[in-house]
Amino acid sequence: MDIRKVKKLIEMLEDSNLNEIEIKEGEESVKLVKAGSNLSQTLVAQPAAQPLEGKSITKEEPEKIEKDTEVEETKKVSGKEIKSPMVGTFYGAPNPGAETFVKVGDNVNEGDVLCIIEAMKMMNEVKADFSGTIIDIVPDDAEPVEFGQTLFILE
Amino acid sequence: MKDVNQNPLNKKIINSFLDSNEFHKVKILIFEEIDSTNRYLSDLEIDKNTLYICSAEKQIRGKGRGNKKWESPTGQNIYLSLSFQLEKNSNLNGYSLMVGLAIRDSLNELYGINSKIKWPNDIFFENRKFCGILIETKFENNLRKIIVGIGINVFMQTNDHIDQDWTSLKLIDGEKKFDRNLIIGKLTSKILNYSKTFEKYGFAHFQNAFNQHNYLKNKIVTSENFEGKDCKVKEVDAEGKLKVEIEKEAKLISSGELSFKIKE
Repeated sequence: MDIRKVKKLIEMLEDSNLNEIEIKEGEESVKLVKAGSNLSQTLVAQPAAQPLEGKSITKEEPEKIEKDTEVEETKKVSGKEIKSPMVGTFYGAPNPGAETFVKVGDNVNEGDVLCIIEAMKMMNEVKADFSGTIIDIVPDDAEPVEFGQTLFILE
Repeated sequence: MKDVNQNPLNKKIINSFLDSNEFHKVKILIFEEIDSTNRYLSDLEIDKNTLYICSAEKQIRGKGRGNKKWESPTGQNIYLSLSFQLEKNSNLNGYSLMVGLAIRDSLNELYGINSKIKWPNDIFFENRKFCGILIETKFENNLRKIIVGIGINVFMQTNDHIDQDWTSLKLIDGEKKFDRNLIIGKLTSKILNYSKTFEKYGFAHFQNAFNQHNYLKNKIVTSENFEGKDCKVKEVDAEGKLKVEIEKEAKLISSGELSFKIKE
């Protein structure tokens, strides 16, 4: 399951009155339980019978972790991160509607342009600090990003 | 519509109008026709401590923000890009506003044109835009390369392709003899001069001056960013962010695709 989806679910859960959400998608399922709820302070990601492919939040983790959801999420990130050098708006393509600089699965070399962060009409190119394969692009297009926020995960 | 005082762009003349500055070298590149002056300097490998000035009589693909085109008919306007290097970790918050201020101030000094800046940096005269700025930065060899793209409507008096209210220096003041070489030389000098101050003190040094010429100040605008709700524009802060008030709540805008509609 896409880590961004899990992130969205966490946000939805936090904003809601619910104590837990469980989502099944084909073979995969994720159950999120709100920290501090009287059910239990756990985030449980249940692997289905078959092994999950690619990145997944369950891959290297035991079934139950006594952590709150946010800590949980950052902990599950594997691979090297490329972070935003500034506050701004994330753009994956040079122009609206154009092909994105990179996509998940691409091999990139050090120095390749990955995205643009726009702030006050300054378009700032972000390049890869190292070579690798892109396993996740964290922000959605045109989403605001903070300084130091993870943009890409490479391995 | 050709203006009789319309001199061609000329390297030597531009150079003669540059204030002596701290760059060891200046390279001026003039083209009859180019796709985009920003694109040219963006792709060019530049030397340290060198200022690059690129201008053209005509741009085939003049760039605005996003997919927008900047109308660039032959000989009528200024299509200018500047490029130089800054320290990698320079804090550039508000830099794009400073560039707008430098252009506004240059035109005021040269021709007494008292224009206003629409945040972040479009330049307006009486509700009509005549100058747009697009800045790109990229990291190269541990330095930050900056490309400042500037379009100023100078002699243009008709154009059917522009989908917003626009004007030009000639339309603002039909009596003045505008000289593109002079404007390029003077405003380049001004931008460099302000940049040095900016590197020392940041945007805070320019905050008051910007707010004096802040086109949106006290206007009621709507923006898609705020679901079409009315925003009252206040001032810019010390980092160049725009302070607005939405339903009595103060907010700071720093980025994003903002298309303001002014309600007045």
